[in-house]
Amino acid sequence: MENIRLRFKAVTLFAIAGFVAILGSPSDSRAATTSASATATVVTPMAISKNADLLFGKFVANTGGTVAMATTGTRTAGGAVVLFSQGSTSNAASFAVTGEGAYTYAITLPADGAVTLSSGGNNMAVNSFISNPSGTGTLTAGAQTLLVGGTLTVSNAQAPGSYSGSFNVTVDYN
Amino acid sequence: MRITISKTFLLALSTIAGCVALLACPSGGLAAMASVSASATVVAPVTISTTTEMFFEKLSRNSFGSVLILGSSYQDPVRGTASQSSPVAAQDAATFTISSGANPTYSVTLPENVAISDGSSNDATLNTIAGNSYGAYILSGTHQIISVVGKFNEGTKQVDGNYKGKLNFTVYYN
Repeated sequence: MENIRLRFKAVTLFAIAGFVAILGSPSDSRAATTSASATATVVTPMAISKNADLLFGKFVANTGGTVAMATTGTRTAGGAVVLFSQGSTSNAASFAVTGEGAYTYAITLPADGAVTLSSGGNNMAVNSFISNPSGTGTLTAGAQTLLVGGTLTVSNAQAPGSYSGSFNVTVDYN
Repeated sequence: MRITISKTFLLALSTIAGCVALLACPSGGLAAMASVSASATVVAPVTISTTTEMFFEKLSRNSFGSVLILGSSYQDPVRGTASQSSPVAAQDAATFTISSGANPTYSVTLPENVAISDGSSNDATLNTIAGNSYGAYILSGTHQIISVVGKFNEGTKQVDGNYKGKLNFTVYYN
């Protein structure tokens, strides 16, 4: 009886050892080899540079209103504001956007209330910024012109003078 | 003293650090930004005030004719027999003072005819209303005086009386 037990243990240990050997060498004689390529693409970083400032030009305030600058460069007076053409230069802001190929990118314009033009202690707000392209741009051969307009709010009897300010435009790959 | 840091804690710490890094640079550092100036010029509105009234003085009643006021000098009847009565008093062209903070060119609008009345349904007409120069005016300095002349047409059997009327003079920026 003791002999049978020892024999059973020996068989069991042998079986386990074999099983472990099989697990330890799973590929055994059926192993296969393949190769894979490793690639990487360095994308041209986005860049944006100013071509032209946003110029609302000259106007008479009267009892106030708005001056809207379209991305086409056309300005429109609202309310009692009267546009003044003599010696007045007006245009939308223009940027040169560059990047990779035909990639698309997101355009971020200033939020309402973020931009103010000042002359001494007098201010005018620029809101409702617009752009062309709007929201998302698409590069062509790695470049695109971005035009930005906005609407200037003019108060009643806005003090005469030259008003100026600045704002930021951000572009980023989608 | 021995401090033991578990692997779980280190894993959590590295995960948090990664998230913070991503939040700090959401675009992966690919965004680009440009700053641009915005400007506007508020021009002072043009103002106009009457400096002197147009005044034809006393005219003798004749059959028919007209009297031209040119500048501050009296002209003999242009046609017909209307004439100035004596004694000669002052006659005046109307003068207006144009003021502006800018040095713009501007235009004026004058009526072709002005009806005058004695207040008792007896009318006469002023016409050939003209300024002392034509076309665009250029404001030099802060103000300019414009003279406006006209011709009084004495009708047939013009009733004696003191005739008055109102001449509207409009100035606007070009």
